[in-house]
Amino acid sequence: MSLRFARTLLVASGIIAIIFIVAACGSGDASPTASGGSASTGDIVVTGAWTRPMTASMPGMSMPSGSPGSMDMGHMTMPSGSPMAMGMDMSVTDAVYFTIKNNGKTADQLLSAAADVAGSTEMHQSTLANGISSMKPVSEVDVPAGGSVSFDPGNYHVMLVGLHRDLNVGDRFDLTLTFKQAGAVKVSVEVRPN
Amino acid sequence: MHWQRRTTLMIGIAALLVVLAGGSAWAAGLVPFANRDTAVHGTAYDANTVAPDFKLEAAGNKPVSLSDYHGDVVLLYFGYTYCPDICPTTLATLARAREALGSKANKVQVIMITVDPQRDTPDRLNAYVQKFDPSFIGLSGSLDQIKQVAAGYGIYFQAQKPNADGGYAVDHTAGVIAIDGQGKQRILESYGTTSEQFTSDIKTLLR
Repeated sequence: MSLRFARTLLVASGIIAIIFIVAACGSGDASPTASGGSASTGDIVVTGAWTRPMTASMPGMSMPSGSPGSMDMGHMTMPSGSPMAMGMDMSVTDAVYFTIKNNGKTADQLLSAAADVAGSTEMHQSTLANGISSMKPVSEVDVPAGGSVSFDPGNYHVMLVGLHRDLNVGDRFDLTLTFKQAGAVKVSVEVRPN
Repeated sequence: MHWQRRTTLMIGIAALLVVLAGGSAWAAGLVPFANRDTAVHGTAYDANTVAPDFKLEAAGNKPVSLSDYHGDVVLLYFGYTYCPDICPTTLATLARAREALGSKANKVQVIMITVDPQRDTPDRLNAYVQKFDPSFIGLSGSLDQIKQVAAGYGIYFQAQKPNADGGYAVDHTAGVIAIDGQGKQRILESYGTTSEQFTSDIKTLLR
């Protein structure tokens, strides 16, 4: 065996060692750990609440020049009196994820979410069909008795619409989830990259 | 001289064992492995599929073409900045994949083309994508331009009806298209591809 070959093998083993380390450090992609805030009211326990960092101020939307009356949106037109056409910027959105566990013997429903950091919040579910992602508003989410529901990337999320302030890594803010049975549950949301 | 050869041989065997251990761990599905011939995690396009060139606008209304990045691996994503879930998840995954590439990352360009040109100005797109990685660029253009580029890549998009506040979501193909340094459209990575899988496929394209 030549020295050169041995060196090549050494380099190769080094690379493998690095791959091991990288794999160990980078595991757990779309499955965030429950390091975020948790809260409970009675039978409802909410854990691992997190959102991504986002800047509250972004350059505004484009208003097509030469179209004072309406905006062509491909399949529809936006009347000039609508908030968008008036240039109101609903600005920046973000998504909050968490896990709800229902330790009770009766099913409960998450009805709404509210946070001071955003102008408004909406509950959504992302769906994927034939490679196409879509997002639809949901009015309530069932949490079965003794069961749990995960709000995860690519599925349910609470959408923050119009952030009032920057969300930086390490920040926390309160999110109030209102359930049909359990009532209001206040959750501390952690801002982290993933 | 003889003992030197022996030492070399021992080192060689030790290294070989490490390689074998790594190989079996990979075969057992324990670790993602970069050098898996030419097999890729995503769906490979037909050989010699040329990625359609385009000319759109980046921040500061600077024109950018795909051909500007000839020699680099380009990861092309169609999304929009008001997208709170799928798009940031994808961009965060791409940022991690790029980070794991180390010095090779400078041969990788992530480009997000908006499917919502009415709201996404080039400057807004730029501010958005740079939250994930300062090297990312965002491109916009007229709706017709975007439609044409998207069609060339088999990307579907359609704005939903606005809600009472005027906000709306845009349905869109969620995959990432990987283009190699020769401008060939090589791999479609579906939503849910992990950063490790991206890193592995990017390394395959960089070879």
